[in-house]
Amino acid sequence: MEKRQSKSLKILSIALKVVICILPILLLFWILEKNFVFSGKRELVYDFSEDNALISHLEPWERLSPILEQDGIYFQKMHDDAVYFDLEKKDPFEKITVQITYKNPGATIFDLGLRINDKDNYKKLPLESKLLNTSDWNKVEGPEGTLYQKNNDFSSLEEFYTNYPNDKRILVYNFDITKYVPKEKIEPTLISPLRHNVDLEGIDYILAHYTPPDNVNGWTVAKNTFDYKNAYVDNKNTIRFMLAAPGLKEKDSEIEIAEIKITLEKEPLTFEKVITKARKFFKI
Amino acid sequence: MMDSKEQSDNPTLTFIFDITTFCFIIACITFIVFLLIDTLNPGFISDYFDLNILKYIVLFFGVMLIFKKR
Repeated sequence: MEKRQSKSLKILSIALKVVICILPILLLFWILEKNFVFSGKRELVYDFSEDNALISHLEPWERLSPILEQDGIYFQKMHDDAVYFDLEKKDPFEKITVQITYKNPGATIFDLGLRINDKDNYKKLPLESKLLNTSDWNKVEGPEGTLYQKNNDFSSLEEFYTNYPNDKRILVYNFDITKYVPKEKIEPTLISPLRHNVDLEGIDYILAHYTPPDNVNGWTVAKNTFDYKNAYVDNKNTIRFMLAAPGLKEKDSEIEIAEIKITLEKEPLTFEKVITKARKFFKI
Repeated sequence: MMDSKEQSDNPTLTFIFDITTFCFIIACITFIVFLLIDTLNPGFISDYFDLNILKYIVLFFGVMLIFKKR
């Protein structure tokens, strides 16, 4: 009886030892996947309830409230035109999608910027434009953007490009008109960017590459995607982003920010790719 | 407190001590390897996994081993 018990304990001991050996190996694989992202997609979330190792706090602090909590949701209020946050660069990716969850009662424009050089220049993409959200102008949508027109002059973007109205004032919002209309047809003095304090008097068309944000449980959720290769990586190995709400301070308004979600994407590392890379490396 | 002869005669106790020793060794090796990787490449491990957890596991099994000796 004792011998049988001793034998079963021996088997159990071996089984347990195998499991104990496998655990750190699994942990190491999990860490390797986190670092090298074999799946090709990594999501990082900073929801103000606790720090994120790769996403910094918002700064500068003078332009922000302390982190507040209401009904279990943590958030921070920005009360100036621009605040910044950093992302620690790990592996190179192809696309960076930044999704912001916020409440914006006052600012007419809320943009997201990516630092593109050491001179503190940012490539800005729209998160929200209250003017476009509430516009009752006629809308013509195309794959490259949307044409908002005061009068129902054009039925498609192609028609607009072909019969380009170079005597009318046009506003552009994240839209490069020179890609679709020959430069000689364009009268640059009649084209201006959509700004927070724009007056629509005398404007006939707005060209925008813009997706209106969603509304989730009373919070606005907006996102936009940058090309990873445009990002400037500073000497601290970080990529800087800007949240810009021009005119926010002037209006004495605030934006409550509840979540910053960053999705980094690249092609997934498949078994075939590993084999190809290994062959290239060993020159087989 | 049991004497050492009594311990070696009890298969259950032998089993527990055997596993404890094994866990201690594996936890020690894992902690040292992870610490080394994280020192050479800061944040490689610690950005995703709290190395203190491993430290506490090593300490726990280390204390258990002291009992074994006694």
